[in-house]
This record gives sequence, C-alpha cells and structure tokens, in this order.
Amino acid sequence: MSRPAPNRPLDPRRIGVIAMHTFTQLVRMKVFYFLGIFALILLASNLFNIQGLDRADLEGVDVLRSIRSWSLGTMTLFSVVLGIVATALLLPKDVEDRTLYTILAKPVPRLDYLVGKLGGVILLLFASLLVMDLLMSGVLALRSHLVVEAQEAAALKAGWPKDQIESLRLETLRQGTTWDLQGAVLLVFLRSVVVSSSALMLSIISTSTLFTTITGFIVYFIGNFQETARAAYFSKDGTGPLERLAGLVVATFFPNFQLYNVVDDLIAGTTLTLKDLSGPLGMTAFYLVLHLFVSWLMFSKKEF
Amino acid sequence: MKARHRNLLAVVVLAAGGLLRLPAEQAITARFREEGLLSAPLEIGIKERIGQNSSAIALAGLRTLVATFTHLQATEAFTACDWPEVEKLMETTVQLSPRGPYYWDMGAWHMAYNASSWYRMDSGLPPLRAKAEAHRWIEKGRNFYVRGIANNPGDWQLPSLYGQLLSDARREPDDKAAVEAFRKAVATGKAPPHIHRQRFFAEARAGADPKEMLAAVSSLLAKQGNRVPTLLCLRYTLEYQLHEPEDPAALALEIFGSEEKALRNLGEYHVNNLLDRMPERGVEAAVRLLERRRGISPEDDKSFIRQKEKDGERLALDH
Repeated sequence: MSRPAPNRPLDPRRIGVIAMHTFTQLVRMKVFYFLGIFALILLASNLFNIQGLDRADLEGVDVLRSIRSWSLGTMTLFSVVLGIVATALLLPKDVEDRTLYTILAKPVPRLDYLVGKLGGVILLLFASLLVMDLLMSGVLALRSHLVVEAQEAAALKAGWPKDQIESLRLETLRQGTTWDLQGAVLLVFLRSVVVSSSALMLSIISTSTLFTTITGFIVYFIGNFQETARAAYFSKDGTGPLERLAGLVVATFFPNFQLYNVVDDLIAGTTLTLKDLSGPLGMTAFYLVLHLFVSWLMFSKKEF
Repeated sequence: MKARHRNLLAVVVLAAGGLLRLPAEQAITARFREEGLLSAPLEIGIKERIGQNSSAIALAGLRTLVATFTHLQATEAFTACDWPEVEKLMETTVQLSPRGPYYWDMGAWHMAYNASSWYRMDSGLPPLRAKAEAHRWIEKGRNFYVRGIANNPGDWQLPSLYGQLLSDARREPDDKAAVEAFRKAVATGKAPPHIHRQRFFAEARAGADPKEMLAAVSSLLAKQGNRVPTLLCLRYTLEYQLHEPEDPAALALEIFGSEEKALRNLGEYHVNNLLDRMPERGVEAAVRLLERRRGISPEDDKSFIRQKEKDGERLALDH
C-alpha cells in the first residue's frame, strides 16, 4: 500500500498552481487595462518635439529622452501601484470568496500558499513590464532611426565631416533601445518585487485592502527616504540619540528603495554593467526571502 | 508557539534582517555613487523649488520624469526669452538629473549662446550695458559647462562642447582654456577623431610652435579619415610659415592634389577664418594666385577674396 506523499512545504508544483491561479484571478480583474494608458502616454511622449534649435546634434534627440523618461517613469508608477494594490487584494479577496478556507483545509502548507500568491503577483508584474518594455523598445527603435536620419541631413547641410556624423549617429543610438535600458526595466521590476513582498507582510497584519494599500504606499515613500535615515544614524556629530535611533529604525525596518533609483541615471545616459546589477539582484532576493519568512511567521498560526 | 510570540519573533527577524543588510546596502550605495550610477539626494532648496507635488514624485524614484517637466518649462521660458527663468529651471533640471551631458549642455548653451546673443542684439539696452550683460551670460554658460564636467567625469562631450564655446570668436574666446578643455575630452579615451582634430585646431589658435604643429598635422593626415579640408589647409599654412615658398600655388598643388581642390579648400578656409581664427599665413597669397590663374578677378563676386571682404563688412555691422 503506497503512503500518501508527505505534506512538505515549498513544493514547486503546488506553488505553481497557486501562482497561476492568482495570476488568472488578477488578469480577470482587468488590471491590464492600464496598458492602454501606457500606450497613450508613450504616444504623447512621442509627439513631443520641443527643440528647433538649429543644431544638428539636438535635432529630435529630446523626443528620445522624453520617450525613455516617460516610459520608465510610467513603468515605475504602474508597477509600484500594481504591486501594492494587487498584493493588498489577495488575502481579503480569498477571505471574501471563502477560497482561503477551502485551500487551508487541504494539506497545503501556509508557506506554499503565500509563496504561490506572491508568485502570481510577480508573474503579473513581469508580464506587464514585458509588454510595456516591448512597446517602449519598438517605439524607441523606430523613432531613433528617424532622429538619426534627421540629424544626418542637418549635419550634412551644415558641412560636418563624415567621422563627426558617424560619432553623432552612435551617440544618438545610445539614446535609443540599448541594453542599459533593459537593465533599467529589470531594476523597475526588482523594485516592484520588493514593494509587493512588503505589501504581503502588511496584508497579513491587517487583511484590509485599504489599510494595506495606504500603508504600502507609506512604506514605499519612506523607503525612498532611506538616505536621510541612514545619514541620521551614521552621522557622528550634530545628531541626537533619538534622531539616531529613529534613523536606525527606518533603516532596518523599511526596505531601501533608493538602491533602485539607478534607473534615473540610466535614463540620463549612464552605462550599466552586469556587475552593477548583481547588487540590486542580491538585495531583492534577500528582501524577498526575509519578507516571505516574516509573513509566514505571522501567517502560520493566524486564525480566520 | 503562540501567535503573539510568533509575531514578536517576526519583528525580531525583520530587525535582524535589517541590521544584516545595512552594511551591504551602504557598500552598494557608496559604489554606485562612486561609479556615477546614483545621484546625490535632493537638497531642501530643490524640493522647495519644484513644489510639493513634484518633490513627492521625485522622491518616489521618478526624478528624471520631473526633470523632463522642468526642462519643458525651461524651453517655454526660452521661447519667451525669459533668461533668468531659463537659468532657474535649468538649475533645477540638472539638480534633478545631474548625470549625462544633455541637460548640462542645454543649460550652458541657452545661457552662453542664446541669452548672450539676445542681450547683445535684442535686449534694447544701451550698448555698454548690453555688452556687459552678454558677457555675464557667457560666463554663466561657461560655469554651467564646468559644473557639468565635474558632475560627469569621464564624459567626452561636455569638455569638447566647453572647448567649442571657449573657441567661439563671438563669445570672448579663451584659446588656452579651450586647449585644456579639448585635452580633457581627448584624455577620456572615448572622444571620436573629430575631437582630436578640434584639440589640434585649438592648439593652433593658441599659437603653438609651428614646427611641432606640422609634425602633428602630418601624423594626423596619415590617417585617411583625417584628410579634412581644414587640416590640409593648416598643413599648407604651417609649411608656408616654416619655409616660405617662392611659388605658393605649387605648394598648394602638392598638398591638395589639384588646383581646383586647392582653390576651393583654401578659399573656404580664407572666408571662414573670419570666425575660425586659425593661422592663415600664405593662404591669401595662394588664393589670389590660384584665382588669377583661373581668370577670376578679386572684385568678382565669385572670388573668395571678395567674399571675405563682404562677410567682414557684414560681421562688422553685426558688432
């Protein structure tokens, strides 16, 4: 007689089923409508042509900057909102639909339930950012081609030598679809993963969507003030013990979202190496494990 | 373990995790700042300038997005020729997005070129005042470039753009400083060939030793991509300076390959030199000689000698 499989936590198949179910559940809530808004913003940024300044090197380059800046800005905004709201919805929705009781009555470890739920949100964020990235890259590739043509025409008219035109072409293409830009999108995704895992912890304390959403945004904003908190804690002079303590509390309990603000400088044209990405990748993994573990500690004996 | 104890343990784990990651995050932040991947936190003055809403957006990881808006506002102010407003908004823009040459270049360019020209020609101020204002805005533009270069070490564009400003005949040129700026651009190792040539031209304007210059010209001209008219003309004038030839046309023919090309290149060089301020000993002599051979009189509208006279008159009127 075969014995039933032990109810071991972190079963990939079980987690996969919960994650896919959560993903489908969120998709049915029509969250992808925001992609329409993203397309409109992309279109609007593409229409900007603020300069007519009689300099070949500035011909149309502002459009590329505005596409990069607006697209990545919108991606950040949507992924943060989606990460917080989608996660905040999970537990209350399952309680309301009573699916939580059905799942927890089965031999499903609570850790698997949490990992699966968060996995579904992360999958949703990944899919959304992938679509937005494809849209942005497509528009940028097309537009940078047009800008290069316009610049070459202006440079030829101004009598620039060939090598100067070639270097201008290369510089302009750096404002288009580059690997650095894909690195920036990855950082946006990593930030949204940390936002979601923080929201998951909050949702276990409250199980109220509104509370989790509001506190989720507060945590996000405070996480962007980490520099100030750390400065207060590490400052040797001019800072009182209370201030230092407050700095330490913020620095230890709140995630540091400033790490992901590398995106700002990538939009401006800074180059990124794979080694540079390892820091944020490692920190995101750390946050994910920490937040999931803390969530599980609070959730494992929680009664509904 | 009771639920209350587990919650307490959760808080302890969160705090311990926080303490554990603190040094790692400090190290990553420091490395990113060093590599220019992370800008300094916003100053209080900037937060006040961009307003509460924008400040909140900027703090939420959207600094560049806010910089795009302040830059748009600066462009509006530029259209209205409101230069103090342009300066204020470009200052805010570069504080929000200090990396990358674009905003620094735009700000410096608005101040040193657009604002200074407007004050000199369109402000309606008395001539002395207009000149002083133009000078003040050129200085502001130069200063903006200098700050941009300091904020973007390793960038070749800003020092070369600064060098171009310092070489501009209409904007109180400073040839020695221009040489330094171009040298800085070349020292990054990323500057394209035309910047190497511009450094060389700046050295020529600053009065470098003709013998050394000629040696450098010859090595530059050895590369096919560098055989641009200005460099060929410079070789001609340097050779002329060092060993004045009996027949300038023969020297020109040797350098340019044909009389037609020699006349076209040296003629353009002669006319453009009103603003380019390059060495030009022997150029006029060669142009006159080559034009005479082709039956072009110096009074003819086709003559480069005549064209330079006309341009000189027009430029004198502008000033």
